[in-house]
Amino acid sequence: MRRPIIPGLKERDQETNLVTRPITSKLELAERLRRKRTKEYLELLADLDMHSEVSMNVDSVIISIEKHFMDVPKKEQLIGILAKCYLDDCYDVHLIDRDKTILQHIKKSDSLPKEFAKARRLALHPSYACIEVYPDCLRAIAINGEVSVVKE
Amino acid sequence: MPDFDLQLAEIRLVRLKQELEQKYGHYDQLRRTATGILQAVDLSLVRSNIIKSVTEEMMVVTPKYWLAPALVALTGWVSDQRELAQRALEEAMRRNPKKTSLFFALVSRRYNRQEACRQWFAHYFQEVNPMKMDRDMVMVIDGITNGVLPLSICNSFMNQSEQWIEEFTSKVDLLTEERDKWRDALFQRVNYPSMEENYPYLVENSANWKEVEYSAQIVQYHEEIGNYMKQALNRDLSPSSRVEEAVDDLLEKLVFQYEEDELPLRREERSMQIIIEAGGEDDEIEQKIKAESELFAPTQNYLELLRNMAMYPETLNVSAASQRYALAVLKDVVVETHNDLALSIRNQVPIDIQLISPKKIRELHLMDDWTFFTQDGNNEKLCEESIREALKKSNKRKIKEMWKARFSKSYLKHKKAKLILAAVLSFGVFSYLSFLYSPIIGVLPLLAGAYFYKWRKEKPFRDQLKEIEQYVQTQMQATLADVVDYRSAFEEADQKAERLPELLKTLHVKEALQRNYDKTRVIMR
Repeated sequence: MRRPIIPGLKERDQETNLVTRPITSKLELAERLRRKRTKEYLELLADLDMHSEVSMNVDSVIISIEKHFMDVPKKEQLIGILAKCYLDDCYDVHLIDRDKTILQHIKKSDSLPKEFAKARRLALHPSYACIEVYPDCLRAIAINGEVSVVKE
Repeated sequence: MPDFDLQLAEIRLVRLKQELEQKYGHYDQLRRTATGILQAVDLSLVRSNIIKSVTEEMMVVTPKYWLAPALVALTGWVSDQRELAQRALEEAMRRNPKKTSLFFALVSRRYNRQEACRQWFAHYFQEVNPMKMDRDMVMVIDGITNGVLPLSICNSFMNQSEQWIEEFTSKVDLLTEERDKWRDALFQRVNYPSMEENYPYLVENSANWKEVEYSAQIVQYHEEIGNYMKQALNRDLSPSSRVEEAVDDLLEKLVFQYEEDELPLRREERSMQIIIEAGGEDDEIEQKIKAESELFAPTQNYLELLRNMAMYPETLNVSAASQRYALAVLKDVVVETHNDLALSIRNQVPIDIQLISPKKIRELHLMDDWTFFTQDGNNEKLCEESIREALKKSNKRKIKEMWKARFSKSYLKHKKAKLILAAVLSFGVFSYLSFLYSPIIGVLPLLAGAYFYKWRKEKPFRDQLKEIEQYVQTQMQATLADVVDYRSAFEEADQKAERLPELLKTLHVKEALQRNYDKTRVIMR
């Protein structure tokens, strides 16, 4: 009664039940980036408000973020992350710009660079922990780490 | 918007029905005979030679159709004519091995012949290809979820199904395609009402109304899809009281399943029904037809079949238990796609709403280029000031234009007599007063006259301005109130996005299965 339907299925990682093979196509990449974000990643973003002083070591944050996307080809990677800022009433979001390696707390009255502006309203939505901005799409990370995608 | 002619669709539907009747009407007769024979045998009310002659007649009048020899084989079996039964069975298997195997598997189940039933099913499953599944799989799943089929078959199917799903979902291209199709299926399941009546002022006084309306419409998705899922999960399971009835229902579903050559006509019939149901005016008709056309494809893969079972249970004649099963199997994909849709709906909300002056005012050439941006409709004071300023400015421009027109050459030429009279009178008054008193005194009444003239001519503009300002202010206050309503209605509707994931979270494949006809209690693992 059993019938193998799709030949060539790769071995799976028993613990996480994830396909462990290098990313070779766009679709595989999209699937990889749809994977639930880890607790550490979410905590890292949540902690940004606590260490809000200017002296904060932005490089270490960026390095930690890089670690989460190590297997993703560089040019396909995210260009920045936008998340709700709880620092003060006059701030609404903070922005991690990956290219410029800076972390900015954005005031309500300030405008954002064009590529991030579209994600601002979504970042304020209570369902999302943060919004990852990619060259061709936005990925919203829910509080529990689940990922939703909207293409441009 | 494509133009669908309602009348034409109605005429076409009648013609299609006639054509179907003409070409496949005799199939229907045979289909009804199938369960009729089984019930007649049960009750022993009909003589066996009558049944035999009926089936033999069917064999003659419905060439090529698998059911006719299958029925002859059945009557041969009932009347203990082994050779006839075998020959007829061979022919039926030659015509359609899958349906014949299923037919006899069900008949064996009806008479509780466990071993025969198992063998027939084994035969059937050998023919099944998960990439190309026939519509009769719907019936098999119905049998499994309603507990009609023996437990051993259910269990091995569940194992196989799990394996299929795992393999399908590990193929990224298949999974991505499936997500896209789910997205369409979910989104198109809902009717989106027009929002013009809800926000009458915003319709009139907003430059990006279309954008606002679209987002107000699509956010209705959450409530409607939540209702749909709730209704799907609460559908009455109402199992038949006897296993024979349940098997007969399945047999009926099996034999009434359209043959492959019927499908194009059946698909067209359904398209015409969609046009008629929508009254010919819906601009989503084309999408609906496209979405349902897959249901009439000769084969579908397992994921497609499950999706269609979950989303189009009426068209595929799917039982409540099977719909729940399909949703339970695919719940992760459904929730993911739903979350994508929720994000997309949120992303299409216009950040700024651009207000423009009311049409009536623009017709008067006042506040022509006035626009005002609001996000949540709470900047009422600023809007009020902006209107006042814009009105003042445009009124001044209008007065200026009026004076320009009055001093234009053509106007002066037209009023030549009046002008000469005024000039003579002014000169007379000035000369008289200058002669009596002094030229300064002579100039004063002239200035007073000129001022009075100016005041009188500009008065209608000033009076009008007051009225207009009041009108514009009330219009814009109402528009800002519409903006507030729109934002809060959106937020309220958006909160319902959680309903679908919550409903599906509690759904498990094993729980979607019923065991209504087992004599002993069954523990599902």
